[in-house]
Amino acid sequence: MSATLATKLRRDIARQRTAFIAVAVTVALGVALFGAAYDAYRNLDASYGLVFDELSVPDVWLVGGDTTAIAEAVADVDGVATVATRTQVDLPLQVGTDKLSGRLVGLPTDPALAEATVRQGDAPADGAVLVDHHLADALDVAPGGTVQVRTAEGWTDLDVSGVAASAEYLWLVASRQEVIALPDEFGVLLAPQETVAAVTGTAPNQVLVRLEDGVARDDLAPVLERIARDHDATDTWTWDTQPSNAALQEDISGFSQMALLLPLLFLTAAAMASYTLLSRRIHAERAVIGMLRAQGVSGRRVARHYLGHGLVAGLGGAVPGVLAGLWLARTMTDFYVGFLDLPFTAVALHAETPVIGLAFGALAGGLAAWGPARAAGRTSPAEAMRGVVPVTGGRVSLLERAVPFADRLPASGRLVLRSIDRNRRRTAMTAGGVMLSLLLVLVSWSILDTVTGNLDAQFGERDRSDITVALLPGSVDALAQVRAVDGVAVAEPTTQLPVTITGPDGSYATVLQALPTDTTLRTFDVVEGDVDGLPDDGLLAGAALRDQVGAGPGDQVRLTLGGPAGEGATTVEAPLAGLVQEPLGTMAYTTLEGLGALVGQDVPTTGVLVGVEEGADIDAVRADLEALDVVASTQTASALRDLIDDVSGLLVGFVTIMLVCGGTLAATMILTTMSVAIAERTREVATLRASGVATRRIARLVTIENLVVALLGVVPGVVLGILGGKAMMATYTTDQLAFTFMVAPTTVVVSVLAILAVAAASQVPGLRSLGRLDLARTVRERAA
Amino acid sequence: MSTLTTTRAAVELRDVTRAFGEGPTRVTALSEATLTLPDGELVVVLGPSGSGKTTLLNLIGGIDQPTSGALEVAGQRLGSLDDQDLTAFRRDHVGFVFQFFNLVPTLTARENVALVTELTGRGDPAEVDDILAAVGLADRADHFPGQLSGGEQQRVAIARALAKRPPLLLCDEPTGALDLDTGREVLGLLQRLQRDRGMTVVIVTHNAAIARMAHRTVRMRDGRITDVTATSEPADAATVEW
Repeated sequence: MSATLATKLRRDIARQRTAFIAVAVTVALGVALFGAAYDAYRNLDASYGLVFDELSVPDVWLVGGDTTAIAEAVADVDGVATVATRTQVDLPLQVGTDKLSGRLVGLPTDPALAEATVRQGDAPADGAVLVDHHLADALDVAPGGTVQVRTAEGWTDLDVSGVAASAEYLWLVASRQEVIALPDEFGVLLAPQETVAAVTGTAPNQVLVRLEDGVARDDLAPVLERIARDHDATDTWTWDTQPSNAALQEDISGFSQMALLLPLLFLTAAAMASYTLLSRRIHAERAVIGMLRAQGVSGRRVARHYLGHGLVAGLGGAVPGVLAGLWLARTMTDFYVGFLDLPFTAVALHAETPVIGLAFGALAGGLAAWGPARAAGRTSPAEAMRGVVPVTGGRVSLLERAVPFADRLPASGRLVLRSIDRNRRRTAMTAGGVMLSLLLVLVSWSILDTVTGNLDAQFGERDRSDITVALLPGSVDALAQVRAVDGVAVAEPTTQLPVTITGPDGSYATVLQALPTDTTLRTFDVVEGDVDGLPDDGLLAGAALRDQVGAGPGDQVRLTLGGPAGEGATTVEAPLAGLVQEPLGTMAYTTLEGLGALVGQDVPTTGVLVGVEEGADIDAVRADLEALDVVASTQTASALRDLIDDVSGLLVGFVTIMLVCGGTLAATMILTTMSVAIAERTREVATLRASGVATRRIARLVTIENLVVALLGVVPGVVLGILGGKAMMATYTTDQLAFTFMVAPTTVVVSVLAILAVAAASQVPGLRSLGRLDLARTVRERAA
Repeated sequence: MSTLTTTRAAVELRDVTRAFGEGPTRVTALSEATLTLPDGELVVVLGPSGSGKTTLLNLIGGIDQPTSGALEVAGQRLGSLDDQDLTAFRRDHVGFVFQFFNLVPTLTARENVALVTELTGRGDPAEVDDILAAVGLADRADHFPGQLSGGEQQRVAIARALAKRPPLLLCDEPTGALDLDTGREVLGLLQRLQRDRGMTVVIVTHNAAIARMAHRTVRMRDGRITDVTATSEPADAATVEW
């Protein structure tokens, strides 16, 4: 590029600096969000990979049945590298006076699979155990201390040798049915397999399988599952569906989606704004272009000059965007790694991320400039050198034809409508910018609405118990004891059993909860089936069961009731009466009488649902309940609600950021199109002002025009925002998480008003320029 | 030709200077101009490019303000008015016609004329068609500027300026973008309007031939008024040749 053209380029940018900066900022945001999300995704993915390798995490878990036979059979399968067995037992746990649900997990040593990393203290020996770090942190358990587990022999003391982290509990999840577990209500102990077997008296009940490198988990897992089912296994899962990892993979998937979608939105908006600016500049410089062409400057050179505008805008935004992205990626990764307390991290600078970011910026700027630059290069000297550019473009606007009685509008009203119609592409781009902004804001906000709405409904309306009490096996008169505790208003017996439900398309291991027929602490949102609560005959199940086993209301399903080891397992058939909507987990429900009828005998109560008196201190009631000998552990709904509030707080922060991002998008589009529209009409505006029309009056007309254009983007923006939110939530729907899409009317109204307010504020620089017009000079300028 | 004699003054300048910039970059576009233009005359301001004639017109029209000196138009001292008062002054007293028409391309001829009437609240919207008829565009009222010839567009611009019934019509090179015949048509229209309506019309041009149709001719060079001449019998615009 010649030095003079470079100077012109620099000055052109300086003259349109506000709009140029807006475009560059939008590019910067897009590139920064890409860098942050992509690097965070890669860092976390690499960190999980490192954890997977360092702790020899199994690829496949085969649960229940004849584990010895299963282990022998799967060891012969091609692609299987290592097979181990272990014992895992859920049992009541006591730390000091705190009673909680516990899990004792064996650590196989020959071969070593599913290892734990000791973070404090020593590896366990002589019957000692390691305490998972979540429990250690929550209840101040340290090496040298003791914990108690409830076995068939009663409460047994176990020495704590150290604090450890396990890949299976990076995110504390008890099962796919209990997606959120609180560390003071569910604790994991890890010990050598021999210790676990000795303490619990339970033989290995899980087979762990590590595949050879390069073998596809999805290909081999079904083969191993078939073998395991042939030996009466009750459940299988892979590392991909392992509850903790699956929950974390949702986040990773969120980062990868953000790495794609956010830059796409921002760079599209930046490209549209850049295109609008450059098209106008080239139109205004037709005479100059013609002069250059007449002097023998090649069309390609002219095109390159204008392409430079786009590239400078793109790269001008991409460079700070890359730097911001690097910082953001590091911050997000550090936050996330710290939040999860990952035992191994692989945080690195990925050289290709800045390169891709710069390429994105250049691509957005270059693509935006390509069309206008090409047109500039093709401008004929004769055409461009025609002094007065003929006035064209007068026509009755589409809006006038569409709006009844528009032909009766005064001239100023028609001016507004026709100004909107004057440059349809620009109008479409402004409306498009508003639409993209609303899409971004509504998708984010609807996720918040959906998550909070579903959880509020679940834990505020459907699950009305304040405390869930787990009873020790063989407890006598437990219900009466619970009811006698001060502050207990309602206490309902419940029984929970592990169950494997088998339908035409497969089996699904979950929990069957039996409740009193007339329960007042539990209601159900039946989404399929002709029942409105617990059925007299059969059972209800989470809606995701249809995908898992291929059964729906009216179908018979097979239930294998009993422990994972298959001890005392009973297989019965029952009709599926209805499918219910539940946000967390996929469980099955029936009445206590129904369960008794199914198994042909009375089933012991395993727990009590408690509703406390209004105004009672839930923590005090909980402490009193835990003091009862019959109580194994308790869970409070309020603690869960607090955790949900924390998660909602994070989501609110996320939505706020998206609102700012959406506002930036809208501001960029309005600011650039406004500056272009005013540049295009300076003579008209100056003529009106010279005729004595007040600036305020003109500003009002321009404001109406812009708001009408913004409103044109609002309708598709709202529709796409809602559909986008729905689609986004659908991608998160599994048997672990299933949210009914919700968007509050106030969300839509506030989003629209916020974007319109940003649009109105974005006009301010343009409106100010109306007041600063040099009338004397402007009215003498040629049309351009 | 006779020496200047005035009746009632529509425009009065006393030692008016308009300079731009400061220090070594200061440019004086109009220097110590003293001029009185009586009411109801057709005045031609003549001079080469850069002589200061447009600056003079802009000052008279209230879209620029003098650096020094006294300027009174229609009884108002413009030098002391703020932006808001100047807007009101232009609304009440001045109509502008520009070389490049400056029409809103998205509005028809009728709507272009109605727009200023509507936004300034001056003139009678019901008269828009009459004004268009007066400038010979009764049958082109619903045409957009892009569908009109240059002369027709300039006549729309004149109609727009007339619609709010200003006592002072200021025309900056109104024939500059037109061919001879069309330009003569436009000049004839301005002359007729001045005669029929008794308004003061100031035409700025570098075309000396136009001076023949003026009651008064103001000649300028290098930012100074060099000569003012008057005649009681201006030539008919139709006879002007260039």
